[in-house]
Amino acid sequence: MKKFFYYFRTVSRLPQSKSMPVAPVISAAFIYFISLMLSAGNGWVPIIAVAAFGSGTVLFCNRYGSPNLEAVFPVSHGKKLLYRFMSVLLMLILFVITLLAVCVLIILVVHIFVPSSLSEVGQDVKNMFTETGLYGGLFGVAYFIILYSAGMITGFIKRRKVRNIFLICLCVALFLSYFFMGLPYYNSINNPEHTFVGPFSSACYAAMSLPWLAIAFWFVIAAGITGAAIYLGVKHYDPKKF
Amino acid sequence: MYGLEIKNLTVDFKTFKLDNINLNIKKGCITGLIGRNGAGKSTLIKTIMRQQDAQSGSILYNGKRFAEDEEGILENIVCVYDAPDFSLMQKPKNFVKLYSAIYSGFDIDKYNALMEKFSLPHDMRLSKFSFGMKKKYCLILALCRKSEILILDEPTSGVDPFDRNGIVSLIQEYMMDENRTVLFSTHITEDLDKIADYIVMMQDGKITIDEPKETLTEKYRLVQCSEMTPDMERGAIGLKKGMFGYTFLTKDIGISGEGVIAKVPTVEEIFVHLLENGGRL
Repeated sequence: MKKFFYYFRTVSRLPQSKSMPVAPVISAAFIYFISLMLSAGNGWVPIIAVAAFGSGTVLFCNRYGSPNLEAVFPVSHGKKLLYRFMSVLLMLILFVITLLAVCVLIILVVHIFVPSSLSEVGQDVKNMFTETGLYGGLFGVAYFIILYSAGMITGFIKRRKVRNIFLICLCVALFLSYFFMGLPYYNSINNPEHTFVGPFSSACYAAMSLPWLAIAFWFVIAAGITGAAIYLGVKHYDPKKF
Repeated sequence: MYGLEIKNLTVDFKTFKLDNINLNIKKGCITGLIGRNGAGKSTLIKTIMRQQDAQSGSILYNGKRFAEDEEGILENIVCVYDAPDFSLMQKPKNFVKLYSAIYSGFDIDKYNALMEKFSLPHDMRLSKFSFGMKKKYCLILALCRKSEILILDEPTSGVDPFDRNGIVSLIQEYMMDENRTVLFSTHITEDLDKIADYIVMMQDGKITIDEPKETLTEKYRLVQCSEMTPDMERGAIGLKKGMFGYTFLTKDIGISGEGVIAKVPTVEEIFVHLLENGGRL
């Protein structure tokens, strides 16, 4: 475990190139907005989505310049691949903890001036969990895995052109997903009696005859993209190659 | 017998190719690697250090393939690049704690002694180090590791002459253990003249020379003369005409004549005349 933390410290401090690639930044912005639309305006979902995508991208995209200490870190290839996945997860956890800490601080400060704010926030958090339900939660997990793995893949791809093509495909896929998941509740947009819901909400699946199929579909996509991330990691400087 | 054995190694970028490289770096010897900018020296070094992928071929590290003992080989091989491979937003006193924890057998006492010898501060951010100071720091880290293969990519460029001598001495000291191997890429051929046992020359992604330094320099003579004879012209390698006469390399080690000065060439002189001759000897 100690070696993992040394690895994380090494990789998080690798020198970054002075020019930041634009495509991942634009993609992150796009993911934010599409997540906002998919979550029907929930503020937390796009932040977690961008954090999931951004962790892998930030940790490996710009820092895979050569030479770098990560490539010669003295662990086996298999362990290094595991450490890569764990590093991204740790980066994400640290980001979420920091964000939560900042939010709690802001809420406590606001509470001084608006005493009812704490209970209102508490109610909002409670509503968020009750409205999500099982299917909404499972969709969230699949969505998170997709973006997490997409971030890792973005970090693995060294060639700018290939990375840009991948990011374009990712953004198009997410945009199409908005329509795919939006169709069941299309009526709610036209019917003012129904509230606007997204695939993170259990109400979206109430309109479907086979909601489990929709969720299974998303998990198949998640498994595919995770498999691609693992495959790229295994092929990345494969020790058996030469 | 060999610290590094490179067999049929090919690294193909679209605009440049390391083409079918075959090279054996002997244990207990310092091998100098020279070539023009863009010859492929750094690419070769990065490929050896697994920083660059290769399309075909193999590399053996002390007789082992990388996949046989990844952790052992990575512990055992160290490279000093032309640019640091770690973040410069740290101070040496903090970075060395991480570095010594990653690589077992790191000699912290030697590290402190070398930092003092080269007058490098422990408490100044590495980004504020001058180019030469960064180079020295990278070398100190490399020499304090328990490694058997040391690869140096331009380790003395940008370093003042006084410390350059110090660095060269340290490399000689490193080689007192005959199980060790050093591959030393440099443009400062005086350093190779001082310490190299073997010379490897690269051009356009290929190896053009791979010989012991003594054999290489003894095989040729550098000739300066005011007039050229037909015999001289036939055997001249990299003929240059200057203000005061002609200079060329020749395999005729007994060459003599009126106004002819012949001497044992340095590595640099061989290198320059070879390139003048289109890379052929």
